[in-house]
Amino acid sequence: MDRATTGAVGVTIHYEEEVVRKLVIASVFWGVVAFTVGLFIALQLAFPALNLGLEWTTFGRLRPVHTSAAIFAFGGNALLATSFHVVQRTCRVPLFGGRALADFVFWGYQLFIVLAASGYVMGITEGREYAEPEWYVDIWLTIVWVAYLVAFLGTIMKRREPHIYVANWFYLAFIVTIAVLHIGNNLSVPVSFFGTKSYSLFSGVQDAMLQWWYGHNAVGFFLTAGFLGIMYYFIPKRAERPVYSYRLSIIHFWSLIFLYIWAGPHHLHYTALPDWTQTLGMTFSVMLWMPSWGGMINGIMTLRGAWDRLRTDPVLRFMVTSVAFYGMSTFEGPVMSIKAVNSLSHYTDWTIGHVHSGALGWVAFVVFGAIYHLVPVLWKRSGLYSLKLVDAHYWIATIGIVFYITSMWISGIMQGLMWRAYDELGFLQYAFIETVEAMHPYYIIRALGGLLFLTGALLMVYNIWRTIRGGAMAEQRYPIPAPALGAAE
Amino acid sequence: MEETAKWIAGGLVSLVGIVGLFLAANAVDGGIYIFGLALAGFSIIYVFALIRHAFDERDARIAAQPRTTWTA
Repeated sequence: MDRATTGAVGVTIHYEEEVVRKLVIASVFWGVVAFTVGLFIALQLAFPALNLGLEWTTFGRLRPVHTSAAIFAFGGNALLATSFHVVQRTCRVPLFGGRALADFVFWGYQLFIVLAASGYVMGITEGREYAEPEWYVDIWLTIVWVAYLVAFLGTIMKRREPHIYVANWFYLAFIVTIAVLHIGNNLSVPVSFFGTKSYSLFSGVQDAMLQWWYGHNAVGFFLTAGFLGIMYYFIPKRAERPVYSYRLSIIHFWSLIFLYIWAGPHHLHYTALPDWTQTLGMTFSVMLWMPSWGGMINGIMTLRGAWDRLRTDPVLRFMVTSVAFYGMSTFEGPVMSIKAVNSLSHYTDWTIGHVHSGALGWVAFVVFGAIYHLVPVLWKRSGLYSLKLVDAHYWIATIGIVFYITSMWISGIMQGLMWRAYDELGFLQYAFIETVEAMHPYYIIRALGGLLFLTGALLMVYNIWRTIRGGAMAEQRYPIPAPALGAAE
Repeated sequence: MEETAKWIAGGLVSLVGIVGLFLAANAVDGGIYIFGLALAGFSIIYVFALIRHAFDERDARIAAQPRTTWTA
């Protein structure tokens, strides 16, 4: 059996690390797939001929492949990997259920991803954003997710530590809430148990409300709570500092969990949804600002006394930049949820820019940081093959994000303003196609940003592959310039 | 505990495989047909992997034991 052995105080613990290794590789693999498909569909928007005249390669079918690959495959595998690693280390026990359960979760989850993605390409979809898979794939994911919960919760229940570390609280909230959201949003009636098509149990505005209760909390509990678990373990670990304020982390947890679940209606402003519900969603979204920034401050301030490490350790820089992006996108989100702002931003590319500042800047960066930290640990290497390559990855990806989000901000605000522009006689000033033409240059800039982000990820693949093989690149690692002599004279 | 988990997981996944074959046999469209076969394939590979790991672990245990030399 391929397992790690770590000595605790008088106790030898055999951690289940093979599954973590496999999940890390899967996350990197699906990350490259997600970024590649994302680049391709970005180019399709700029150059529609790239739809290739085939139904399987149209934007409509490839877009959910991109989003699911990014969120559930890249992000999901990273969450599974880090949660299994963190829960074993912080509870000082091997994974509950052993290799059999861990392997079921790993391979079952990969099967879910393949079934979902192949279904999208074949046109099998429920048409619910971020919940596109049909009923039979939903049931399979539920089975795998329950197995994941059993493995995680079982490990916590048999822990040797009296305390449950805060990262595990976030992971557990992520696992439990995603189960509730997934089951609630996917309640549907199949036309036949031997056919793919199903219809939602709900209809009209109730169906829309349920979908965005799910959709927003997928952001809140999958893309936020789970990754905050990563933040609370890996930043202190990498910075070799305790969490800035453990009390703040507990307040962060409970306030985030309580507030997030109510914010979904802000996705349905100015629709048939009752006005009071929209206002409720907006109000809770604005209140979310506080716990989000409390968490951001806690993450960043963990570096107190170790700020110099940002200059010398690009892995830590990835993590801290991700927290900065978390702060930025959790500021932008509440602003966009305000009805007056939403009347301009909704249905425009501004939303796409906002989503990607969170997905690329927060989610992907914290995953890159965690993976760069984990790989030498999991494969028993003294360090990464090359920190210079990590540095290059960091800058290329950061520039890529800047291209992406600034182009989408400009494009989106321009789009919104063009849609609402009237002439002196009260007629719309622009035809829809004129807004599309105006956005073309920004679509090319966005694709360039995506290309840079993909390039950075490919550097990471090479770096990780060389690290796993063993050895390190001969490189001068961040020389610190000598202080200028005589400066005080 | 780990031994029990293997038996439970193996039994449940075998059942899933049979359900998959049943779905594939009665499928009215390509999606369910592929899904059913995928479940059956997953089940077979998973159970064979369980068996392989069990033998690997037994071999590792034997290799770790001190050897006894018999003399006539």
